[in-house]
Amino acid sequence: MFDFFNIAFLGGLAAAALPILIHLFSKKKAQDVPFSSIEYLREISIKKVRRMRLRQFLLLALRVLIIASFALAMSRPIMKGSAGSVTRGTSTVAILLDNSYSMGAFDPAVSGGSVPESGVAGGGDGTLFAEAKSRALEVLDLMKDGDQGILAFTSRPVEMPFQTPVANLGLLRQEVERSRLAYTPSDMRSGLEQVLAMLEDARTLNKELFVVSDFQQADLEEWAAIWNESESGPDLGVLLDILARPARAQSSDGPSETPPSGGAGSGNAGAADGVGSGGGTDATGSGGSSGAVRNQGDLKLPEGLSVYLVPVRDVRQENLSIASLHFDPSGGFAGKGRVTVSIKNQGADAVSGRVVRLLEAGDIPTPLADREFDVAPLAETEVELDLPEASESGVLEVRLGADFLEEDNRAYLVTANPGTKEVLLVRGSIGSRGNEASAFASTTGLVQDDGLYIEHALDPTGDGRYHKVVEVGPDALVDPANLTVDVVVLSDVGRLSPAAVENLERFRQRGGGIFIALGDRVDLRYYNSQILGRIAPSIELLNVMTEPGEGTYRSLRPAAAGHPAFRGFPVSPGDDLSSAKFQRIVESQAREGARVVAHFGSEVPALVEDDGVILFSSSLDGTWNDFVTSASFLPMMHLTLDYLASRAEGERGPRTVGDPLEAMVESGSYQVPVQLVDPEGGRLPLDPVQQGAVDRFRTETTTLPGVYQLVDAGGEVLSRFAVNVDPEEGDLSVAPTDRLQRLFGRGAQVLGVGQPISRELLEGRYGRELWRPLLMMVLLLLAVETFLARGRFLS
Amino acid sequence: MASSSTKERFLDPGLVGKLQRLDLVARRVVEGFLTGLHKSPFHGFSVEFAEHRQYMPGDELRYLDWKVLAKSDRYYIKQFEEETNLRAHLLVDTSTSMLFQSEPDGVSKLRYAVQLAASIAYLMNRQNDAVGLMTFSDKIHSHLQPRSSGAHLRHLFQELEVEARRSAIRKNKGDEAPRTTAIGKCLEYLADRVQRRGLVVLLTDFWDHNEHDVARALKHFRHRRHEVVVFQIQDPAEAEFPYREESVFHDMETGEKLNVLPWEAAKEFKRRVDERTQFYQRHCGANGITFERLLTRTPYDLALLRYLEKRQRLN
Repeated sequence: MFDFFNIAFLGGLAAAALPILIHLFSKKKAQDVPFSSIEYLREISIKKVRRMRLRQFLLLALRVLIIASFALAMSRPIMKGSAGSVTRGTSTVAILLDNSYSMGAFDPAVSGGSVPESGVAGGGDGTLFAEAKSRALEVLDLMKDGDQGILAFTSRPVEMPFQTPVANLGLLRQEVERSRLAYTPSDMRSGLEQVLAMLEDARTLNKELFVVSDFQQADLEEWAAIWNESESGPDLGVLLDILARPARAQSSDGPSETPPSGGAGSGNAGAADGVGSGGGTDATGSGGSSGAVRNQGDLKLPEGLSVYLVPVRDVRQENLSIASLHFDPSGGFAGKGRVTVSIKNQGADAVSGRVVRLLEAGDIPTPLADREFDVAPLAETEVELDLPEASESGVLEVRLGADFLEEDNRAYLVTANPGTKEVLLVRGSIGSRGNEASAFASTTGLVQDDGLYIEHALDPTGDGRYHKVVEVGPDALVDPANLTVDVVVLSDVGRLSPAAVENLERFRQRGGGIFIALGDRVDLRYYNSQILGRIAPSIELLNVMTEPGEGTYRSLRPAAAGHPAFRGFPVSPGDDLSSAKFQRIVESQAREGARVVAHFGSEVPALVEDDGVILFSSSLDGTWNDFVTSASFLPMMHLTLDYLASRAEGERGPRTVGDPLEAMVESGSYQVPVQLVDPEGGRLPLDPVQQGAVDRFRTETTTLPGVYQLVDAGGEVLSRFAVNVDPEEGDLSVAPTDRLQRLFGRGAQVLGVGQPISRELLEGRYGRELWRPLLMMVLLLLAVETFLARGRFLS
Repeated sequence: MASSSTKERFLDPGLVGKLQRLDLVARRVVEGFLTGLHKSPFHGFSVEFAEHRQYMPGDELRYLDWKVLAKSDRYYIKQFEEETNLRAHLLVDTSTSMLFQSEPDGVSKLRYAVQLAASIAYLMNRQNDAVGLMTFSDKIHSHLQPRSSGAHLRHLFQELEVEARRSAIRKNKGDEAPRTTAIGKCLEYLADRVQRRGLVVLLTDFWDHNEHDVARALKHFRHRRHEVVVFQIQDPAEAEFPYREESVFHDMETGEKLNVLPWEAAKEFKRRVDERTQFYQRHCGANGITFERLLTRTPYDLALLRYLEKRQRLN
């Protein structure tokens, strides 16, 4: 098989016709010569002419060959063939080594298919990653002098130890040997981009791409979905397009991507196993739509690239993953807090009798609670673990028993975090006020200002020491960037745009807390349908209630004992929380899923909580009550908002590895320098960026699961961050080999697990560049031509 | 006495060839030749006194009449009534190969041979020798028995004129049936029929592949005690092979065509031609035959001198 590096020079082959043309055009017709006798000439000439014809033909052929060989040499031809037929050509070998944390799974070939008693974490011996490194080294062992290597570790972010192809095999081996398992999913797109760019520029006979990975089924499903749209067969552009998508971001888009979560032990297999033959959408595309191939990929395979897929696992492995943690500070036994653990069974077999443990994190983790659970195949279950006591350290750890993949058996949770909470105070616009309210306000002498009292209550010193309060109008909620706070307070906000409501809903879903205070601008019907119906559907506003009688007012009494909103208040249910007088309230109803935290003395709900939303059924602007001037107003607001913020910490806090970390610390309240301490004790100095009275500390990425701590020079912990692995990476099902073959398209070879990367397999590497021998041939032919043209040979 | 320039002019084959009448050619050639001779060739070997004539330079002193000189103090030569017993046969090869002429200003081999034969005949006739003529190629075309009369000489000239015209026809691209060469056969024919001892002058280019037949025939003449003079007439191109470009050579006798690379063939061709000449030279030398190679640009005096030398030996 021939190929050319400079194919344009092949046009020079046309010049090979020049000697023939010159010969034809310069040939004269032999003149006729009458002669006395050709008796002697006959004997002489027949031999001579025959020799001359032969000589002329040889010269012509030589000249044609010389020009053609030179043109061929300039086009840099390469010849590929079997190992036995030609010598070996130079190769550029690119290795995409998957070091995402799924590669930390215990190698079934080592364990014999049984779950190891104690997990092997970190990609050590016996893991798929160790096998992958071994395979990569095997590839490197087949490289010879003159070969070049490209190495990329495909966990996000992709790591390229060398920015150019490296000829030093020792360096490549060293990088592979000392490579570590990452705790992030793989980013094959970025890895391919960088590697293909380097391969494109490589000037060697062979170009090879080895993808050493566990080839998870989860990735393949999305590829297959696109694949079925193609009528034209394998198309790497489509594949790369699929790879280009953020793998996890796609999981919520497709109907079959994520199995629906069920209750405890009642998981649903869903469509997660629908690879290849599920739903009549066979991979052959016979049932596929007639749509054209979506070719959004901008990556191109270099000409002549050989692709080798090197899977390191060929059987599905059982694995349990902690999918998510939910902390309810007021839940559980005696309101000490409750952690809800969502556990996903990534395997094909049901799991029963397994134990999940809750521990107080620390140098020596302290067990707090444990519970057995069952979970169906490919399903999720939720297990609730109640804290016997409130967490002292504010850091909790949840552990599952050992299985094939250890990295997703642990998750961390920060329940309480030092530091200033950010509050977005959304004030209603100026509108008409009721006469009665105005009259009440005039009797109390309070200033009618929507946010004045709340702002003063949350930030009494005005320097952000207790809460960092940002005041905005309702329109600010349209911009999601404004919702990067811990709590949002809506104070007498009349109407919100649909986009604002949608942003609020997302804010709540990702763990943000919302405190709603009513007021004159509130339209109950609108609130029920457009706001509460979206963000707190278990709460319903019924009607506005004024004072029960002339000169009588309602009081505020706690309804949920031990609720963090009243923690420290020396009151018991039934006692008045304060002496504040509530002249005007809104009757509300807490349906299933919501709970009444406090009520007015007449059992009318006053504080109603529904999953991150607390509704205060009166106003906080002094128009409907004088609560804002009571002694209990400030502590209750602090406790309530801190509670909502801690919920946010519990829900939103477990960031995944690779996420950035950011903390706000009161300026001057710490000693410089400040360092970020990672879970393994590594320290990273951080410089603050001052923003008003607070300083912002930020790191762009994280690399390890566990608890990061922001520590000042005095050793005081300024903030904590729980960082966990992406649970989706815990799916240890394997993509079918034939499917891989089809997806990677023409010419890709899928190696069997453990199959040696032998010479025969790489026989495409054997070949040679022909320009040197061709130039040598040109010189030799020139010498022969000179000898033949000027010498006496054949003359 | 004719001037030397006149002599040269009439000994140059190219120049005299321009003369149309062969008798004029012969006379001019012979007269020019004789003018340069120190001795007069005109003497017999069995004579009766006929008359006196005035001495002319070149006359042999032995024929000077001393008595007349003593009486009159004048130089007279005694002239005798010659009775010649010399019978000469001119054998002219008229094969088509003899028509070859490479130089535009030169003469063909046949023209050269005809003019030379005419000159010799004229000279012999001047000496009252009997001269005959045989033209041949692969067969005998004409045969005149030797006689010494003037009429016979004219007849002989006419025969030669016919051959000379053939050369002109050829030069003018005229058609003519090709004549091949069979020298040996024709010589044998003559040798069998000429009984009386005489002189045989052969003019040919020797393009006969049966060289040994030719040699045997020549030896046959010697066997019959004839004196033989052989003139091998060659065109300069046959001796030098001056061609430079690839050409198609036409064999004038057979019509055969052959693609020839002159630069490749020249050396070998010349070697073969020389070999043939040397063969005849050796054979003639071994059998007492005078052999002379003449190029068509060779002046006639050389050929005539050879003839005279041979005639003297006969005397």
